[in-house]
Amino acid sequence: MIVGKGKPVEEVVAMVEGYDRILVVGCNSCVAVCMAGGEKEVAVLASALRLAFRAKGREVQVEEAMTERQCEWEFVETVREKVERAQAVVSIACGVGPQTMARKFLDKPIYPGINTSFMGQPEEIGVWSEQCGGCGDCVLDEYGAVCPIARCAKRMLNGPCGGSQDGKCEVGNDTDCGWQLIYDRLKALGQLDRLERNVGPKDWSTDRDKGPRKIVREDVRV
Amino acid sequence: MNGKLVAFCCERSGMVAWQEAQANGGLPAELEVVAVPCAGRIGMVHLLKAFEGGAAGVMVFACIKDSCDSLRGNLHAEKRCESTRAILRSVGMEPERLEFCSIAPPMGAEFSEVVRTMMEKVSSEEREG
Amino acid sequence: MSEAGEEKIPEAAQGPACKSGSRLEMLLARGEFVVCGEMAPPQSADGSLIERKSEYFRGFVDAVNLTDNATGIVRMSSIACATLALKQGLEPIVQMTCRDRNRLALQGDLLGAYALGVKNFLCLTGDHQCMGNHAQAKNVFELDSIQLIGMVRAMRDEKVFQSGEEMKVAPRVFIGGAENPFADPFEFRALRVAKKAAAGADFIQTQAVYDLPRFEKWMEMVRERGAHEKLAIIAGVLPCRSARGLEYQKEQVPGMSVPDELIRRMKAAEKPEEEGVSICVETIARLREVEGVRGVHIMPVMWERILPTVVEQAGLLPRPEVGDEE
Repeated sequence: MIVGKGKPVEEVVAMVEGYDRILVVGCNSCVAVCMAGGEKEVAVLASALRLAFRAKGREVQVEEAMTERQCEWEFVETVREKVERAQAVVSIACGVGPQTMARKFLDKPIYPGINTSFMGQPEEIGVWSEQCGGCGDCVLDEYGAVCPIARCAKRMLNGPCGGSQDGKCEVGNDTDCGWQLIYDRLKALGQLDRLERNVGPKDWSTDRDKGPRKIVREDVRV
Repeated sequence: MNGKLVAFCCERSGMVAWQEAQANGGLPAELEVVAVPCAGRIGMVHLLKAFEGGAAGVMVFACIKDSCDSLRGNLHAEKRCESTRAILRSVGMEPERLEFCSIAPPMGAEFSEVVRTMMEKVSSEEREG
Repeated sequence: MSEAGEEKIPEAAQGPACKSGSRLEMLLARGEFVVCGEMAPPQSADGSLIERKSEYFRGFVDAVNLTDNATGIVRMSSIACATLALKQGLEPIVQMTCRDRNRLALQGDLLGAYALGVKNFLCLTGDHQCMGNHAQAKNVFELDSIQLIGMVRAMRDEKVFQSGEEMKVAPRVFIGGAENPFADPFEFRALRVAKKAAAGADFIQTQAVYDLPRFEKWMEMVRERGAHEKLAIIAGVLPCRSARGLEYQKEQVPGMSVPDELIRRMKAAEKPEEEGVSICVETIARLREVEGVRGVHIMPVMWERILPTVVEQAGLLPRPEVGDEE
């Protein structure tokens, strides 16, 4: 899932300082699951905004709305009425949500209320970790289903580096050494021989390095 | 603000303590009590809405550590109070207006004390403000 | 007209086995126990620092590493410093990391450094920038050290760019890598030396050795794979000047193994700097006994002026000349 975290309230307040009618829109998918942009979070942010403006001596109207998935045109359409009533919209969906809204409501300022970070997994309640590097050329088969792009701080395909100690990465923050994970996993699978081979330089042109990416599936376009 | 105080009380502890405090007398008229089946039921939005409704001070009375019938409801409540205080700070309100209190059922005197302290706190802020 | 670079190689070094003709390569080929040093480039635009520091290395080492924004702290570029070092009569080893440069820059820089007279290159993945003074930077890391070694070898031996296109004049360079016998997973560290050899490394410099038993165990595993015959292993040492400094390495530097006994010695010493030199000299002596160790790489971190003392006390003077065989 896509994982994000709410922006500090002060930052959001600064974005919508000059407006009198604001809409806060959340999304019921990834951000609801990572407790950053679901219904509860919409209510909290809307309330916080009202209190913030009241403390500045202004009564600002802050409405609340939810979309099922804010990246889809049809779902974004369902909040049209509320969007049109507002002067500005704060979206707490992942970064795709506000951009979809902006492409649908061309004359409406849309502001981001969360910081979207990565594709990751909920390890336990309250803890999400980055798992997929989105490189466009998946090599999980070579590495025992542990991604060297996402889980190694240096994106090494022939790791580990010399900074790996006790299973932890030199970047600190209790970050696991991705290569220790790869090594342990391949050992458990009896596939350590995969690591005997040197892997050549990666073709990064399938990654963001080539520019903004697009996938077109002609087989489903009729 | 309307000078009101709102106390969210867990039925198993806070409400019982409130009843004892009420019987002993001395609770301010401005106090509004909201019963919840567990303090864990209280969300940040409830606390913020209380302030939006004009409350000058808000208190949460939860069961003491390891006594929560839902196991960790009281811990969640405490964390949510911390997060809500952070929001109060961010929006220019005094975080001290929100108080989290661990309480056992037969602690009516403690209940009264917390309410009295909050009353004094918000009154002095009114005078200064 | 001869190909650029060929004129600089002494006749004795122009045999078929000669890859670069660098002093380091020639001495290793001759079976000498080599001595490398390391110089930290200036943290400013003051190139004259290299000139001043050179006196601690000239005549005391066979080659000197110039680090590449090591630990993520910005310093004058390794290649620039190497060029300044060449003017001081030193043989530089340029360190190249994959942290700040992509394959285009790495190849371009290598060609340029070679054209300026640099023959030795140490290919590294690089310390993560988060530990340095520009932690907000984006990093590159589009290659790792093994891929870099392979790329440089192909440039030298097959005269091709990483894209596969041919180049007219190849950089005839001596290729090095680094390895840390004290990092985890331990069992994998000897295989990594073999992988670097397979990629094309001619020599390996190791992380500073304080923990001799662990180093000796690692060398045993390296020898089992025959890797010590495919490339020259040069063991690292770091002369420490204080107990606090040694403790810092133990606690703060990832992948360092420092026995408590050494910290005790430093703490108990009346003259810690002398004790630090003794420990370093003793370590060098023991390293010379280890089969497969072909030299020592002295890293006098923030204490470059002690290098001549260490080399002298370790009995490594005078340094051999490339010209005088037999």
